[in-house]
Amino acid sequence: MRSFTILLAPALLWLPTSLADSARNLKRGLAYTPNDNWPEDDKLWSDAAEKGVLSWYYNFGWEASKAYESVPQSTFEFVPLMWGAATANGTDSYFAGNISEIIDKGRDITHVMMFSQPDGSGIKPKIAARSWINNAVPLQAKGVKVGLPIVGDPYNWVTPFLANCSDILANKEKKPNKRDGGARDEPAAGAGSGASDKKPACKFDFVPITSYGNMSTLKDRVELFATA
Amino acid sequence: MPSAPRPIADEQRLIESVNSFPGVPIWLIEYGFNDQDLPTTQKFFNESLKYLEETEVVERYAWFGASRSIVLNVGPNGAMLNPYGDLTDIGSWYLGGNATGTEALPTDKPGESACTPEKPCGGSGSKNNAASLRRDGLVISLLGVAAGFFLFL
Repeated sequence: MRSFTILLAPALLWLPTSLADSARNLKRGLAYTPNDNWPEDDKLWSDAAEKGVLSWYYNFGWEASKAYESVPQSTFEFVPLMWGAATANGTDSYFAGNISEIIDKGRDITHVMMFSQPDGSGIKPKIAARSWINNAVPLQAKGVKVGLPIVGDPYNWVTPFLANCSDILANKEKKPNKRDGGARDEPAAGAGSGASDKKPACKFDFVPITSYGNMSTLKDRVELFATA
Repeated sequence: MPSAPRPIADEQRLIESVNSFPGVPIWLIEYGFNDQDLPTTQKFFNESLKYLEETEVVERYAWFGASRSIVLNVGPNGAMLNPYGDLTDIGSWYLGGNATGTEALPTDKPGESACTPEKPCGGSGSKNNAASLRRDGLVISLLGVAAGFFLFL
């Protein structure tokens, strides 16, 4: 037994330091891109999640990645993204329906993102606002946190988007038989909104952004959105 | 992407129907310093990681580069995997480990790489340089011949 332990000791020294670190990194996640050529690589990231080094991922789509279908949300939280409006006029609620079904089937989705670079792809703020009302608001009513559309700057597209969103909500309230997503409530602490005193708010719970450039660019972008 | 200036006429409207962002958590869902040489990329990676961990308003972040270097569209040096699927320094650091010494590509110039998206490298654990690719190929061929020989016997 003793000689066995002596033999084992060098092996123990090789254990990755991350095993000793029991704290789960709640910030660090994975931007998962299509990987049809080398599916064996996928396990690297879920292994890291099992160790608590990564805690969440997204894959630019609304469905959990096949490679991670059996990984629970509590280990590797999948964050769906509604890339764009499914129909040209934004009146569909397919995304809300799909996510609701995913939740009902047992995957506890807690956060979703809406619209990838709509200011670049040319989705009009008014269409996106309509789509938001039909998809984000019902999910928020179920307790899901929703991210602001992913844009290049917090004003040009976002201001009319939030204004349009607010207008739609205000119009809905004039018609008592319309669906209400509960957006008349005061925004939750830490949530953002596009409200004025008179109009109801379209709320968002977090702000997804991107940054390509040096440290200066990164800091500028974070500050730009943090203080908008 | 730099922000465009706000039109003056919208200032008042902005104040009224404001984006009340302050305090709202930020998620940096894609970031990197694209198309730079390796030292620059690694310096940025380490500095930004520290910054993001320490900055409270940043609630989540995801480095863009969870691919093999030969298919990464922001330049190979940000890749967390080399052409064989081994973790590069950046890949290892991101997953809480130490530097691996595994290079993103055999050379810094993708055009000189022995591996291309059209002819991707397979296998794993290979030292990532042209000489060892030739050597490994030779070893594998010899082993194949030897195996064939013994099977034949």
